[in-house]
Amino acid sequence: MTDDQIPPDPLVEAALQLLPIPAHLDGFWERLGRSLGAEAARGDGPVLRPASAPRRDTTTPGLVVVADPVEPAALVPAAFRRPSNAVLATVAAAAVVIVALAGSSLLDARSGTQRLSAADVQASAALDALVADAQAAPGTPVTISAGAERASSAAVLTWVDDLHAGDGAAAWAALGERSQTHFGSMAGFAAQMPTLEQSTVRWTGDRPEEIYVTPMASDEGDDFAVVTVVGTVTVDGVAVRRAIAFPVRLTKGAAHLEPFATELAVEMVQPAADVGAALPVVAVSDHLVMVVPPGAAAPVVRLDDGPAMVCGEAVGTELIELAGGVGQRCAYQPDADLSRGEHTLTVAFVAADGASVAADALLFEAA
Amino acid sequence: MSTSSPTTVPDAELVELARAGDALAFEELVRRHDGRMRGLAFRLTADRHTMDDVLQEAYLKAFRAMPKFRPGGDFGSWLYRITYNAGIDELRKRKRAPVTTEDPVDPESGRPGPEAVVSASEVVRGALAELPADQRVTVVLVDGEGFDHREAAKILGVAPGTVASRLHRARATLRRHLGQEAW
Repeated sequence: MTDDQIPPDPLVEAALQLLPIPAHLDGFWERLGRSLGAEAARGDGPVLRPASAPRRDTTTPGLVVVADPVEPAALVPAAFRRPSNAVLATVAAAAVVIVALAGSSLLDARSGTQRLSAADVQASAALDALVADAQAAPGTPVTISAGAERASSAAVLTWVDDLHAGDGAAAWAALGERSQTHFGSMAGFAAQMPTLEQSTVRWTGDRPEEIYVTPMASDEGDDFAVVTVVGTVTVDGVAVRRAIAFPVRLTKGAAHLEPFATELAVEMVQPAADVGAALPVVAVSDHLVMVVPPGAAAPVVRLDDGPAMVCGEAVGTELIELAGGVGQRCAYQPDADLSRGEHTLTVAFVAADGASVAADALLFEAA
Repeated sequence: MSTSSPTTVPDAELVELARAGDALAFEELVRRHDGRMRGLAFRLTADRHTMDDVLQEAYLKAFRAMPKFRPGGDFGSWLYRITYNAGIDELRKRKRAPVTTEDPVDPESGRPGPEAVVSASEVVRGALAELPADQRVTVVLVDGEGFDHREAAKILGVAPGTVASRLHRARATLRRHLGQEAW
């Protein structure tokens, strides 16, 4: 199967045809005509001949530049594919792996930027207790061994490599039980491999630039890690920056990928995911906002290689239920303004069943 | 604008006129593509008032940007992407994709009106509501509007593989919900 051959889904197509498309409300075209006429009257748009009597619209901003359509990206050129997993494994082992320890990182950050007074010591003790409590809560980020960190990142990089090498058996074997169940069988997985290959990426220079491993814990007993991989990929000769998060299940020292263990997903609100080809932009003083499904436990937010924070418990975070039970809104306001430039936001949560983790990562720009 | 009836003027000619600032030509172009734009905007917002607001914004932005439209380009796809962005902006303002049903209550009697009857279309709308906005618009473009995934990728400004991945997830979620409702 090539990327030109995504088979149709008759059931979904038929279902969507059932949706009625309503007509405009009365007056739509008259309203549009007036707006276009007003635009003509402004003289800073393209309009030379207004459609109707011009009416000055003082609320209309000046010329808005709308980006030209972006040429479709395609598969990473075959020249970037490597025949062996050995290099990747070496890269994985050598990669900088940063594990966030919520407690120690918070304390380190605090003590590193402030002169400690007696009051500070007292406050620090209170913070210590807060952190200790937070660490005891289900789903709170936990520590994993250095070996588990390496195993997690290596599993992800090797899996991507196997996909691109067309090694279906190895890629299937690297999946966790729940993700295998998602596909039903190895044959089902093999049928999806071309799609999966396209949705994963190959790094320019054969390696990602950063790898963050964020440990998670579930009620089920297994530990999870979320591996966030950040790098530059080349698509049709154009360098594009990407961040991808992969949930990994850790069982008795073995790491298996679980990107399909649940269909639940994080919704990035600010910055918003994939509005266009360019990185989404937020103001340096903006909150970061995301929505997780109802029942999602202990959503974890992590900015770049900073501490992993449980939303609603960590300083600067807020978790509220959305009206109607449609989800939980997590907001994070960093202590200080974001530094200008590129950042990586990783968000993960334990599903309500306690047995799977969903994660997402997004590159954005603070300006 | 030329004196010929707008309905007989080819798109390419209307585009040239619109690029030169002809509002009537632009409106005619928009009317030709309005059905698709309504489909996209309504599926994103599920509300007629908001759909109209999104389209007013999208069409006005498109008109302002006409000088930047490349001659020979696909106006429909270009307008689609602007409409998509306007819809996403609206969703972002509301901080949550707010697919809701139309008010099912008869305002006079206070009792459930005909819309309250659970219909297949309502089931579909409810299923769409479960999808994140990026998956929703992808499945609408490909399975609802008939774009192939490369065209959808061009409209959305993402890689074809990303469209394929979103489509896979969206279809799985829709199938699960539609199956549960046993419509």
